[in-house]
Amino acid sequence: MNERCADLELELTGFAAGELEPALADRVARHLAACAACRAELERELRLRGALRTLPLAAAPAGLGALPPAAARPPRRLPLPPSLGGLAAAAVLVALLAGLPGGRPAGPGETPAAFTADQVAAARRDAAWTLVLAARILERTERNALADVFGQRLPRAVAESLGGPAPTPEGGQG
Amino acid sequence: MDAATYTSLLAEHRDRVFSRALYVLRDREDAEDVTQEAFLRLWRQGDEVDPGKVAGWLARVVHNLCIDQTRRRKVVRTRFGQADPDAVELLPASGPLGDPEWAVRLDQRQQRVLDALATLPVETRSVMMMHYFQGMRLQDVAAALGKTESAVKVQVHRARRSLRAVLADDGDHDSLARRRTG
Repeated sequence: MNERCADLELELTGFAAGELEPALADRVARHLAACAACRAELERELRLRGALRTLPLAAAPAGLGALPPAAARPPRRLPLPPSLGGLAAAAVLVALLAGLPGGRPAGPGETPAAFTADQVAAARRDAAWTLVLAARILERTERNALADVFGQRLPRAVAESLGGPAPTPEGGQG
Repeated sequence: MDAATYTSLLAEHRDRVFSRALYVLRDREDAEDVTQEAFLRLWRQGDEVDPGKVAGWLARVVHNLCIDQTRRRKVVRTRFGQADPDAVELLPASGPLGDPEWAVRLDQRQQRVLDALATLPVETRSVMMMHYFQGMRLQDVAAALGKTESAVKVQVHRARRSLRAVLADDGDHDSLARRRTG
């Protein structure tokens, strides 16, 4: 590979994508006409491009990323009484659970910080979504645990009680 | 960001985000987690995102999430190991992407290239997918990731050289097929 190859080989991806400025594209094209090694490299680039550009779009599972119902509801303007009411206390609790900055519990004799209706709505949305994430984690953990019990532990226990070797997950004898 | 705007962006970008994560991570559940987390961040931070730059913003978030997810997987592997039957969070084996469960159909050439890509670092795989699969310009990839365009060019060039064998082999298959049909 001569010096010019080293100069231009980094531009082959942009050349194949049609992203180069005209002057640079001409320079690359002239070099390609005279350099078999770079033409071979361009062919590899085109094969790579062809394989990845045409990868099919995989459909995401239905509901993935969808707003939980509680989060999708438009925020309501909450009438917050100046004095501590049950609603404000609930808002503080939700904010604490959702990790909202400023959600510090009031100390003895301290007046809790007031939260705006928007903050409460945001905390409610975050809490709802956190529940969705938690449900996904629980679902996966449950699925793995069931696979462990029925795929590993139960066959092993049955095999041990029968005095034989444990069957493999594929159904053969392990 | 209001719910209607979010839902519209979700419909527009979700399959693309999920597909890219799937091809980078080669694990359906991981790809689902990354997609969910990416859109959760969009929902939370949507007001700070320029409406005309949502695709680039999502590309960067997915890139970082894929790297994080891979690091977490390594930690789990190190602590529990694939063969530990007592580990609740066992790692799913990375199956072939053409498996019916993946809901994508790949031709042999694509499967070979993806298998070869899987040997490269996750950061490189993600950059490759941003350019080749998502069709992002090299300068847009660089801007999304806070890199220089030259750095991205070098990264893609090195990756292509790493795949040289499979790409050359691919050509051999093509010429062999032409000879057989010719």
